[in-house]
Amino acid sequence: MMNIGKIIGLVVFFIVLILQFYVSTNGNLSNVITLFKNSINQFSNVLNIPQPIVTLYLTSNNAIFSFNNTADFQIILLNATGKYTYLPKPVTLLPKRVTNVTISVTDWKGFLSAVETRSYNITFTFKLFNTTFIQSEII
Amino acid sequence: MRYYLLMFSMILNIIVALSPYYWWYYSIGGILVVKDSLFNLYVNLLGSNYEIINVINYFLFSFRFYVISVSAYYLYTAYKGIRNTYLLIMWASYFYFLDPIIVYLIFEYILGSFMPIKYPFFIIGTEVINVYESGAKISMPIESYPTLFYWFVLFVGTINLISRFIKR
Repeated sequence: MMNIGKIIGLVVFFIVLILQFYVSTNGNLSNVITLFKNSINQFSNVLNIPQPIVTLYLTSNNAIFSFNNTADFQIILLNATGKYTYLPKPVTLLPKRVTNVTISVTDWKGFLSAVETRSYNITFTFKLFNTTFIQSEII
Repeated sequence: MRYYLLMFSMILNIIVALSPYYWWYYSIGGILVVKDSLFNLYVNLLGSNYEIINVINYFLFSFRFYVISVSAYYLYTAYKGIRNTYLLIMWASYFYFLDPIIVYLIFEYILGSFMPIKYPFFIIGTEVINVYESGAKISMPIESYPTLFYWFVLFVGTINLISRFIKR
C-alpha cells in the first residue's frame, strides 16, 4: 500500500540515484549507457584461470623449471615432488612473468634416465589465493 | 497515544540504514570474495574488482535513503499516534540465512551436474571442498561468516517484528 512515507522515499531514492550517475559520468548523463556497457564487457575475459606454462631445462648439474605465469595474479609453487626431486622452498610466480625455479635432484642418474624415457612423474602443488591445485605431470 | 516501541524500532532502522558496515562475509577459496549488506556490495573475483558492482552499489546506496525516509516518516506518525509498522529490516536480516542455502543448491544441482564436486551444507563456518578436474586436485576452503554488525541487524529485525505485535 502506498502512503506519503513511501512516496517521499521513492522520490529521495531517484534523486540520490540520479545524483550518483551525474557525478560518476562527470555531469553527462548520456554516458550512463556506456557505463553499463563497459561494466558488462569487463566480465567477458574472466573465469578462464590460465595455468602456468612449464618448460624444463637441464644444465650440467641443475634441473630448472621455467614457469610462465600468464595470469593477472601471483601463484605460489609450494612443492614439486617426484621420486628423485623436491623443491627446497616455496617460490612465488609473479603475474605476467617467467620465473625460473631450480629443483633439487637427489639422484641425477635415475632422474636423467627417467626423463630420457619420458616417464618421470612429478607432482606440482600450486597455491593461488586460498586455493591449492595439485597437478601431476609426466615429463 | 505515542507508540514508543515502534518509535524505538524506527530509530534503529535509520541507524542500520546509515551504517556502512557489511553484514556477511563469503569466500570461495579466496578466488571469489563477497562482502555484502542490504545496502552495500563488495565482490572480488581473481583479485579484481568490477565496475558493474559500482553500478549496483549506486542503486543500493539510493535504497538507504528510501529506507531512511520511510522509517523517519513512520517515526513521525508513531509520535503523532498513527501506527505504521515496517518489517523490511526484519525480512532482510532473517533471509540472510538463506544465502548459504542458495549457494549450496547452486553447487549441488547446477555445478555438481558437470563437475565431480561435493559441497558440504553449512551456514556459518569454514569447510574445505575438494574438486578433481582433469588430473588435478583442487582444494578450496569455503568461508561464510556473519559480521559483528549482522547480529545488531538481527536484533533490530527482531525489535521490528515485536513492534508489529505489541501495540505500545
